[in-house]
Amino acid sequence: MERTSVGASTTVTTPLVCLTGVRKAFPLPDGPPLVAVNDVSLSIDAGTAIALTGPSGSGKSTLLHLIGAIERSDGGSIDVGGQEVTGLSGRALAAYRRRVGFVFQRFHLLPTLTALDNVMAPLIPFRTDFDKAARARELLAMVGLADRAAALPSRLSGGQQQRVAIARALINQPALLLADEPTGNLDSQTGTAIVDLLLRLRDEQGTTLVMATHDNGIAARCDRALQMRDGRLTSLDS
Amino acid sequence: MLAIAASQWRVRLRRSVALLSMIAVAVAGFTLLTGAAVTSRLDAVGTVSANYRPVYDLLVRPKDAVLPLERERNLVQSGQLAGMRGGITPAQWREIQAVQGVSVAAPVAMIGYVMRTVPVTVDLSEHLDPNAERQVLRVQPTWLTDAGLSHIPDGPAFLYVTRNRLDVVPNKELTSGGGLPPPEEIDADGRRVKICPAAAAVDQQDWLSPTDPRARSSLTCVGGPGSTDREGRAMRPVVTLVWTVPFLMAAVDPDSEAALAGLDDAVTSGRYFTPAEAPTQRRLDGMPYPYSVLPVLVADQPQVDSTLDVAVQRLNPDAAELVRTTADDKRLRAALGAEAGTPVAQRSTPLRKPYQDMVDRMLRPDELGVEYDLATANTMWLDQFWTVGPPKRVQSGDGLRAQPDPYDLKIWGQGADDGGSSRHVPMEFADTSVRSGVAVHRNLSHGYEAQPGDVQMPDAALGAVGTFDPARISLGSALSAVPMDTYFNPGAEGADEASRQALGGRRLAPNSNVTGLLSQPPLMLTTMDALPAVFDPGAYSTEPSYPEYQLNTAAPISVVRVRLAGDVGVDPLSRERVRVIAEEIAQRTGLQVDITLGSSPTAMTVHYPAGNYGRPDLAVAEPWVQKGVAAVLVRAADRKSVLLSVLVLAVCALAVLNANTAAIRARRTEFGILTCLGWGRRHLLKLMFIEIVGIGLAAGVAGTGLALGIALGLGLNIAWSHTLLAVPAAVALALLAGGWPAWRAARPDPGEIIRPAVLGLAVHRQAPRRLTTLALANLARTPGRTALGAMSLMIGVAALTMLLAITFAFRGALTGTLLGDAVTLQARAVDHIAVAVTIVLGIVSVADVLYLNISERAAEFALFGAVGWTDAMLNRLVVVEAIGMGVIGGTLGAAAGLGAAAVFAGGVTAPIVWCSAAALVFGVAVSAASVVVPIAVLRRLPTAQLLAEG
Repeated sequence: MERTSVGASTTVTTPLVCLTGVRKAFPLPDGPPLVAVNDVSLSIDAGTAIALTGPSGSGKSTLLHLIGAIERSDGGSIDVGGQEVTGLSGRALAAYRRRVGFVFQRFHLLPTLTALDNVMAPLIPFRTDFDKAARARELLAMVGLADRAAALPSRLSGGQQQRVAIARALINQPALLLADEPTGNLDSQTGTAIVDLLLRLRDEQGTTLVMATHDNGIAARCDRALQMRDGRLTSLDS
Repeated sequence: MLAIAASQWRVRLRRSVALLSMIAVAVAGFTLLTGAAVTSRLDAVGTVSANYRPVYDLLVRPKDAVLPLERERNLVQSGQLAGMRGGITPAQWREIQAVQGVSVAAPVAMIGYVMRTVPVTVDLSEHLDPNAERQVLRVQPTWLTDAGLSHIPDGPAFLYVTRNRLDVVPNKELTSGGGLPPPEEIDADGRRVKICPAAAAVDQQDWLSPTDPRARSSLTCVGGPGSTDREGRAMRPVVTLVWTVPFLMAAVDPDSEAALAGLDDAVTSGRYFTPAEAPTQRRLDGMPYPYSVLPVLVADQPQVDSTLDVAVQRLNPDAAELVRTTADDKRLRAALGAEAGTPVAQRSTPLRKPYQDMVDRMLRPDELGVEYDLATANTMWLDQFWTVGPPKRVQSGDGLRAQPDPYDLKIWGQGADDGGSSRHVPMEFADTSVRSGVAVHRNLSHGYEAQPGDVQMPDAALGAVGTFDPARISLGSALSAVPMDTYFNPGAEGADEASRQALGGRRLAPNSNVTGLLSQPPLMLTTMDALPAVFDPGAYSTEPSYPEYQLNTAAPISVVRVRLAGDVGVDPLSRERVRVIAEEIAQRTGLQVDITLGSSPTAMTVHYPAGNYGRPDLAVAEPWVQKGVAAVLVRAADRKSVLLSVLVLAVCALAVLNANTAAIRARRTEFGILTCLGWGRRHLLKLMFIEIVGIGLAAGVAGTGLALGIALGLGLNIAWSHTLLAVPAAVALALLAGGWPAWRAARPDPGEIIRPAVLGLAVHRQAPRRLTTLALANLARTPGRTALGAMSLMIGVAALTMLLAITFAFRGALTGTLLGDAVTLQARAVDHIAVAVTIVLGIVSVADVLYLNISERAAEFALFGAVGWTDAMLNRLVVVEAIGMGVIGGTLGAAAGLGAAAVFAGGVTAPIVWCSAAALVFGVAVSAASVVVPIAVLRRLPTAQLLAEG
């Protein structure tokens, strides 16, 4: 069991995320490659909430995946907390992913695990100097699901599942939380509650939040809203 | 980690149970099969071990006695003990005895044939015409042999019977010179008529073959009341035919023969030889030199296929007048032979009784009430004996072809048309000869110069000390029988349909023709210490005088059969010990040494030319010996055991690999998420291995229980401890079959699971527009999975092809030896189980592939249903996929089985092709039938929910 350092400083004055000329294209079987992110440069200060907006297929999710090291960029530089992400591999890559929280549009909970286990999932293989279950329970309580810790995902509503996913993203106390359309599969009331939760985290814990959304209302509640179209950033501020 | 694994088992309970069940069934099958295979292997090795040791372990022969065919095919021919040219010296025999590790070295020295005649009396009282004054009966003897195929007519015997008295000069009144006076018939009017004239002297130019019917015809005259023969006995209407038995004589060492073959226990009357029994010396009154009496044991049965049929005819009345009016014996018998007659009787005369009478006479010569010199009349003088060369055989195809090899029968003694004195050879000698080189060896009385008045007799004679029953000789197991020609010739059965039909299912047995194909075993045995009386240079002279016909006086021994000391097992160490001893004997003596230990009888086809008396061309299977069969069989049993286990394990592994791949594949998303959450590759691997080992352990325990239950239920003889093998087997199988999928799954591309679906879609280059092409395209979508299902089926079909080929094309025997056949038959049940298990696992694999395809494409099937496809259409889609997989696996399996069978058979034959075609059809059929479960799953798909999720 390896030890991992979790958590991050809450007051950072320098940019936490710095992207320079980042590109990503996907090969298509029957045509030229689909360019999802095209020469994107961006700087995100720590403790801010950023909204990435734009129509479907504009490259929002891909940009988040690149920052979260879920996809590898084809070019450019991605610096997160002073660490160049694009060259990471193996254990360093896994360790970086543990320092970043990711919330997916489709939640991606593990269907065989309870809500509590899902929250703990990132830490299961690792030895920690704190009680993983206790922290998981705290997080579930924080997202308002203390009473559903033993429930399997199939027994939870969409909003509840997304809240479990957020709790899971926070288990490692990440400095950066990436959320890909966190309300995309939810009704507006539940979506609003989820956004409230995410912004509260930013406020209370200083977590930097980068959120992809095509909901202008949600974007308006963020510190900055960046618009993407055809893989490029078209406006830098709301 | 354990908790997350446990939650996997718990939540994915159905899949876990399915995987666990599959492994459990597989390892239970594996355990039972390996147990049965081990038992079968032990049975096979046990059979081999039980039949491993023949009567002798080594056969030592002169190098020139070995046929090229024997060397080529590692064989030992039958009939080699009858080799008469010797080649081994007594010193070499002693050398063999001195080799460390040799327990018994039993020599056989063939001496040659001694002719003994057996009178066979035919009483004709019942067939006389009571009203006839005089009458002549003709007795026509015919010898039946070769399983009744040969009818060999002998010379006729005529019986003249008159009511008048015959006046015969008794022996005691005979004077030397002037020949035998013929009997005189005293007619009612007192007239004396000379009848039955004595034969005239025969010039050398008139000598006939001893089997010429003219030289074998006789005339007997019998008178009415008051008539007596030359011995003074009342005349009776009987004719005496003569059956001549060639007694093959061989010398053995009494102690060695008792130890090797139990000859001492086979003695039925008289006594056995004393150790190193030598001839006794005797001398008759008036004999200027002593003679040696060789002790002999005589077989108490003749061991030849011979029956005597006699046909009795009453000749026309004028035949009687011929007897009274013809003064020349030769012309008279010729004239009687031409006379017509009326059949009055036909009967078969048994030969066993006359043979036993003769043997009795040999044993008790002094008890016979003959008036003149008992010693000269009843002593079996060894005045001459004959040796015969080897058969003339040439290699022909896979076997041998014996070739006619005629020679002048007069070497056995000339025949003469002199009224019945020349039946000194069996009539069978007139039949086809395949071995010439006949030589006669005449006693020289060691060169004694006889003086006038001396009693001149040979200086060697035979003295029967007892009789033995060849059936009581220990010949060892039939499965490892080695030639014991010293006592027994098993004969030969027909090797092809025509020959079997001709022989009427009987075996061709040796007959009295010593130059025929099959040689009779020795009927007389003497001792090695008696040999000098015969083999001393100067004791006998040989005709023809060419060197190759001479007795091998320096090296009279034909073979030495060697039995080794102590237990000799089938294990490699024992085999090596035998090899070392054999090599030492070969080095010390320079002789050919064949290791007969671990040998088994095998058939050698020999073509025998047609006989002169009705026997057609025959192809017979002589019982030769295949050396080294036991070692080959034990190695084969070992290989077979391993092969069966590997075969079953391979199919099990494929089935589990398929299931594991599917299970892990279904969790790609999960692994991708965990990777997104920061899990490393080794963490994923660890998780999967915990799951795999856990399922393996559980499956092992379940498999043990299942194996025990089945073994108890079916009464299989399997060690309970062997069933525990299921636990490590299950874990190993789970790891083996789960390792690769886990290794691959531990390197997920996390982007793949969250990337827009459109980016991951494959595009069909040719859109399937028909149901069949759509089904085939579906198979191509998961080529690895399709290959796994097809491979499982392939192994089953290949195994089935081999089984069918063994059963129908090879008729259950690949080895062609008795021992091999026994072992092959014994292992058959395990073969059937193994093939059945592989086929069942093949079906399960195909069904599993189809099931997984349906599960993963559930939304697709739901969509087809939603757009109007009927259930039948969906079913057809699944069936066509199953048939596609069946065709791929079946074709590959049939081809593999065909290739393997062809290697065994030495080429592709029509029956093998038919067997592989049948296996292919079967494979496709069972593959199609495996859709039952997948189609049931298809029925239960929640269409609406799937479409909603999609």
